[in-house]
Amino acid sequence: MQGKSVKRPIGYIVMLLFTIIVLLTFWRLGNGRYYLFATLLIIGGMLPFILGFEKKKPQAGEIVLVSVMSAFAVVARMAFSFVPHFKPLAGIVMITGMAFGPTAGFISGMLSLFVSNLAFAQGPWTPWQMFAFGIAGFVAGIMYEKKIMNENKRVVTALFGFLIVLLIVGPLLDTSTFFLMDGMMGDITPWAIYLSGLPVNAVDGAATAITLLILCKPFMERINRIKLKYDI
Amino acid sequence: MSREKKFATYNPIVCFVYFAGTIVISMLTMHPAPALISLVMAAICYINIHGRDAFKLIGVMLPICVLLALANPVFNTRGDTVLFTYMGGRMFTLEALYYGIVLAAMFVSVIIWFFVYHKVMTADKLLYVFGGLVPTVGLVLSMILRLVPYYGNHIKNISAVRKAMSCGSEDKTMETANIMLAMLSWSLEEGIVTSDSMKCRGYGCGKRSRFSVYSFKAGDILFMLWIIVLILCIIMCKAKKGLEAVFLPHINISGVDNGYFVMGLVAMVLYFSTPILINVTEAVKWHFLKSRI
Amino acid sequence: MALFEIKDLTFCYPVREREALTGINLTIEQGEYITICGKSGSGKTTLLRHLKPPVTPKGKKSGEVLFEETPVEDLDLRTQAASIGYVMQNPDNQVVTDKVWHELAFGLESLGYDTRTIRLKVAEMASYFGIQDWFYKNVNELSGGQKQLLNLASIMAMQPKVLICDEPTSQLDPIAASDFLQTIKKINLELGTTIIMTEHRLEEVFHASDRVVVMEKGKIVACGTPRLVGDMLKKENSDMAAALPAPMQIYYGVGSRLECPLTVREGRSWLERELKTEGKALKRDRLEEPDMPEESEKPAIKAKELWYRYSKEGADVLKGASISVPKGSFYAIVGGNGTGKSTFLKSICGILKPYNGKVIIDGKPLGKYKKGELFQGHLAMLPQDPQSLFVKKTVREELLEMVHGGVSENEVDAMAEKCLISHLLDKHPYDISGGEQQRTALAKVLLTKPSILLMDEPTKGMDNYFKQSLVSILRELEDLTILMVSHDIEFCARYADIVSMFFDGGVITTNTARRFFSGNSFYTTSANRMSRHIFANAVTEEDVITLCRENQ
Repeated sequence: MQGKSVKRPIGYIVMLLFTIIVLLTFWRLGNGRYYLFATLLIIGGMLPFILGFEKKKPQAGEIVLVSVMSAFAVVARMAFSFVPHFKPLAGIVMITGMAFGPTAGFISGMLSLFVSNLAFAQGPWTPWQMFAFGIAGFVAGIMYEKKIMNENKRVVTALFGFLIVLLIVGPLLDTSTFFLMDGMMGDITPWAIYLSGLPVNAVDGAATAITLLILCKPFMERINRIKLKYDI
Repeated sequence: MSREKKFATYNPIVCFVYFAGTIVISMLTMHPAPALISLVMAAICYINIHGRDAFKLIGVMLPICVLLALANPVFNTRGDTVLFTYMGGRMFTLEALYYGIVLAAMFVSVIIWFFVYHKVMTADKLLYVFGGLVPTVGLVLSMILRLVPYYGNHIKNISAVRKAMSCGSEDKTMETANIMLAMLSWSLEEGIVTSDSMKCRGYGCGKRSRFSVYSFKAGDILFMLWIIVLILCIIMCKAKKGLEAVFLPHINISGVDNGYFVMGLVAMVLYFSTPILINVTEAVKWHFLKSRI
Repeated sequence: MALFEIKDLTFCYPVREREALTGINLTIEQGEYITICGKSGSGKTTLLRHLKPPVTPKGKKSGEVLFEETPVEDLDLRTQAASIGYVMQNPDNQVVTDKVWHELAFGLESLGYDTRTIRLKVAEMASYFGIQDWFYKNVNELSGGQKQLLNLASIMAMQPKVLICDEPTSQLDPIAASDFLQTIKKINLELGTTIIMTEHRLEEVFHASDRVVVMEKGKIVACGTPRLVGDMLKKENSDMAAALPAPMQIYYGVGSRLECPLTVREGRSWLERELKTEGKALKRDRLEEPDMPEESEKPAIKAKELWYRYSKEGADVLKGASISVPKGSFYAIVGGNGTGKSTFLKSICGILKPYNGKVIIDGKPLGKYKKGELFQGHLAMLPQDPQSLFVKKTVREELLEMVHGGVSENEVDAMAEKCLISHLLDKHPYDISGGEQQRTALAKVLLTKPSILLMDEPTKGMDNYFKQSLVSILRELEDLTILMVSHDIEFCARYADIVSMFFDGGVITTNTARRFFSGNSFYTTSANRMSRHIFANAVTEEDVITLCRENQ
């Protein structure tokens, strides 16, 4: 059961990434506005996860704990924005994915980003951010099921956290920038945007890795205690 | 919080469709006239809805707009009319500048429209729009919205209390981690009570229905029809090539000599100014009502 | 047909030896108002939880609970949700959604009613409970009392047959609590809804109840009408007698043969009849009272004209508040909600910075203390919510967190001993009861070896026994100056040396506890309200009893 529900979204992601690549290639040929198209695809990409979550009919306990973790991620992002090199949102979303499964991780990442954007500003980039952080939670959840990311393997977990931000979240956001800037800067290639985004993504990835290094184990311990105590 | 303006009191579904249309139209029409109309109306709309604070954003957006407009010819050297050359012969062309202005206007207008959207479409309205399709995710969102300010408060308490105990680590990152751990334990336990409270009120005992304070009124249907008619006009204009615009290498845009262009343009002016029209009509109405009282 | 029938219910939590409930037999009829009382840990809450399947704890259970002749565990989810309402202690964490109107509709949505029905019922509830004014608000903008009322309304919207309330007012201030309990009474009288409630403010519920059930160590020790239960407790000399409403305590203390008074009104007329005061002068109508101490040269805390506001545009919360707390005294500040008491306390310990005024701690201005110096050995603050202090996995680790610079591990053990938490050291701070959490927090705070202790609502949600143990811990500490902010008039009257009234951002009056409370006519203890037409300055139950005895 679990395996099946995991496979379907993966198929979707592959399809989505493929579409983006196709779009990028065609971009050289035509002079159109792909941003809308790509954004619609991204919104479409969120649907399977959302429907998967709906279909599972989660219990009250799971719903509440996912909400708790998401709200926690939002508050942590807002309250500790002054602490240097501390960007806890991605890290907490990944921990949520690890503790409550890939789908819950996706929902948590998606909604945390949406709510924290409410405090700042919504924009054409919002769906992209929602999707990117959702995927972060989702991948962390899968990694946990595959026993790659684990609270007892702190360094490996932190490393994968770093990689997820560097290779998935960052590039997704860069793609959004690319489509948004399309035409504005003349003939720039997507690769230029990705390259220029690399250092920023690496810094964000490192911040996430630090968050995971410090918080992953104690967070998982506390979550597991609650799961055990209240039988969720 | 002040009373909502009339436009914001329409049914959220209608408002959402309106904004979706606004943004799609703004993004898809690469023509100077609609781009400028969209920009101007977005700005007026934002000022109308947000009041004096709106100028802060517009003050930031204007220079960005100019910068983006100027940036395009720097990267893009195509175009027939060379205005001047620099850096040993790199061309700065009129066509590229013109293209840049239209692009920048479009980009900035979309951003401002998003701010208007942000002001009007509060989270609970969005919940109403999508909550029917995805009830569980909707509920999670509603709970997050409730928890964020609640947690924000508690985190302040914890850090104040810990400061007053002078306990914990000197290191800022470690102390932050400590505060977060205290927060986590507390919020998880609180969450358990919340889930008990949900179960006590029958959550999960069958199919949930949905209640909302919003409903469709005659005005909403009228508004919806207005949107549909205008969008149809715009689509027709586009389909009949009334909104063609080519900038590079030389400018060729449809103008007032094209009948479809005129129709599309009128429809767009009406479409983009809808919120303003609604709010101003309302204000005028109240003015007269008041003077009668 | 009985609504609830509890037959031989025995229950034991996993990994615990002692039974939480032992042989409970109780029948509850439709429309009754039943109050269950007992010390913390007597099994009240466990019993209530057995009446509502979703919150029934897991463990070893024997006997049965029947709801309208069906075992509760066989009730289908829908029936139990619609017919049995359950209100919990904390007004905050029961709320699910972010909007008042959505919260009201939550239960009805779960039951799958259509929009039209929900609209009608929600409108009804909003009108009945007076919620229409804040119907569109965010839940976070509400006060604690309003939130609890919302929780109640959202349950009543499902029109349950029985309403179970587990200490619903323990987190509310006295005014909100009394409003809430009146609403409960109104529901019982006007709608005929059965009420089953645990409560430690017996003053407010005793006279309203049809039956009172007293529990001790998981057993029912008394059950019957309020007067009958009073008699039983008196006869058995149970320590629960100390929790009875003031008029009853005085009545039993004096040993009268007249009918037992339940309310202050009955108490006043009883006192007249008992002492036969008509046309006769009393032998003695006042107690000795110490004079207000002179303002000392070197007070522990001195605050001069503090002004504070939370935001630049906001209104002033503190408007020139001043105070002088003598060394070694137990000083209480009382006053209504939102008068700025807590803000004042936070300003004194430097968490908030007043924009005007001066705070002097131990003769030295607050600003002159170096970073961290103030909270090492001078000042400490016990927060309202003890849980905000907990970071670690066990109580021991919590206390050890304080071990640095001059505190040794032996001292930790000694402090645990003093605060009666030695047996809890290996437990998780969230696995112990509210009163135990409070004592753990106190131990943690006291490990900074303060000479001045600030406490914000230390008795919130505590029953009388926990209050007594708190006081006995505090009394053992010599030379400790205590400044406390509290709503708990009875507690302040009994234990504080000096009491100040806070109102509108400043201290209005200050006096010794006895003079303070005997001078007030509304804001005072029930013993005083009951006896003030006869005795000049009796404030506590013991005062009234002493004076009565002397005049008999």
